[in-house]
Amino acid sequence: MAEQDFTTADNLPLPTSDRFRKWLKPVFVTLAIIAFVAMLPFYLIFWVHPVQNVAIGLFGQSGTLQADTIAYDADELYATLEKTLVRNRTKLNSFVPKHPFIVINITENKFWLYNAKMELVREGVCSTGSYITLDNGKKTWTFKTPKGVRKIINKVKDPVWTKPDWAFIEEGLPVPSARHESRYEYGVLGDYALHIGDGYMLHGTIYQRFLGQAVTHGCIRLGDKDLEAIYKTLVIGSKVFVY
Amino acid sequence: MKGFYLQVAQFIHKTKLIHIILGILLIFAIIYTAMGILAARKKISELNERYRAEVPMPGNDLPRIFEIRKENAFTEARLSLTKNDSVSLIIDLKDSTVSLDLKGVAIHKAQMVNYTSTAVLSALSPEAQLNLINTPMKVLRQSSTIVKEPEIIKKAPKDTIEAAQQEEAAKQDSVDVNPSFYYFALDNGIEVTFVHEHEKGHSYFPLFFDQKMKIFKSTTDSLKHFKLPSYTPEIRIELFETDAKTIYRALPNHALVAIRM
Repeated sequence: MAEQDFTTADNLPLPTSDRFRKWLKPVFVTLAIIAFVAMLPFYLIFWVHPVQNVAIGLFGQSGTLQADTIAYDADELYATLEKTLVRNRTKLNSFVPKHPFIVINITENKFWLYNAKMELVREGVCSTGSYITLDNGKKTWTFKTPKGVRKIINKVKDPVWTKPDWAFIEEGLPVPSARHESRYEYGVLGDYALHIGDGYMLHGTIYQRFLGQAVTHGCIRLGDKDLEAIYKTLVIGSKVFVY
Repeated sequence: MKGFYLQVAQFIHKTKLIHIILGILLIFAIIYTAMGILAARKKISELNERYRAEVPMPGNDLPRIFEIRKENAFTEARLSLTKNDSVSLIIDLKDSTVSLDLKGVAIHKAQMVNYTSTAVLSALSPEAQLNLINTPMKVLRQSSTIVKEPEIIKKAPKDTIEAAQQEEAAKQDSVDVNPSFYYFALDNGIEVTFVHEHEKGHSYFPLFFDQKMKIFKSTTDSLKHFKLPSYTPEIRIELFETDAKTIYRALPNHALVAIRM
């Protein structure tokens, strides 16, 4: 066994404090440096804003009151402001429909039917525009349900669908003349149809399995029971909110 | 191996150049943060000036007066929205809700899962806060992980056989594959970011990163030219998935926005 050489200072065992200085301190400092360098981009990109927010909060409000020296009666002022608020809210409430109305969400393909008292009377699924753009090289048709407020302009029982040109083009069929008998289809729109303008309707469907999906040519398709309830609840002039 | 690491550690510990580089980085981080704070304070001054009250508004130092004035300002903004034919956005930070408004009727109401608002907005003077919210703001720019209208172009089939084949073709909507993350840059410099509550992690990270990188780049550019960086006050709202996509799709490109604070 080789004997340990204690003749030079380098080979002497180090005391604990010296060992820290030689080994641990460089390791800690290195780790700290690596952590700092690694975290710096994260801080600058993601965490600087929360830090700034706290600082802004701590430094307080930089704005000053512009009129804090004007004399006023607080109760009187509050009463005046309250009156204005009531007047504004009354004005805002005047926009609430007086008739029953329906709200249609075309992203979720759902509807909510309200009565004249703003009570929800029925909700369910529907089908709305597919966002398909049909291109035959000469003309394009985009099948989307228009957003906004519309009104019921006509209510029809046992509606007949007059097929437009795109219905033939989409099926790969030749387009017939305007009044050709092949343009008229019976029973495909369900028992009722409620016209909302520009050729758009709320109507029934023979494709009940597609309810809840965006598959229509822009009209709003409903299930049989829902359609019946809507037909009976909504009147001519009822608002249809589509979003 | 242990000796190698130790040598590296000792090298880093002893090399002055590394210490100098670290010092520079630290100073940069401090300057970056400080300039950001100064930029935020400048933004506060700008907004205070922009929304300065033209008529005196006494009593704003009383909470009840200020609160009722805020309610009035918000109601006035909602009344202005009724003149708009499109769907408008209402952000109610007081009730933590986001609504869609169409001609004065709240057609969709969503509860926020969470929200954070930049301290700049609450640091504004009371008059500026009131004037900020009493008129609708307009969306100037937007960026999103989902498309506004999932349009699909379909060539007209030559015959009924091709028509039947087309019907079978699967339709893929970006909403079903992408998590919703979008932001609206408003005309007064405020940015409203919407994220949907997402359990599987941050799949919207690229857009989020992109948004943060833009700020980082513009700030470092300003610092390079010894200029105060620009500051964008932000409201970040977390919503449930269906609400997030419904709201994005319902709004027109330049939607009007009313905020209740």
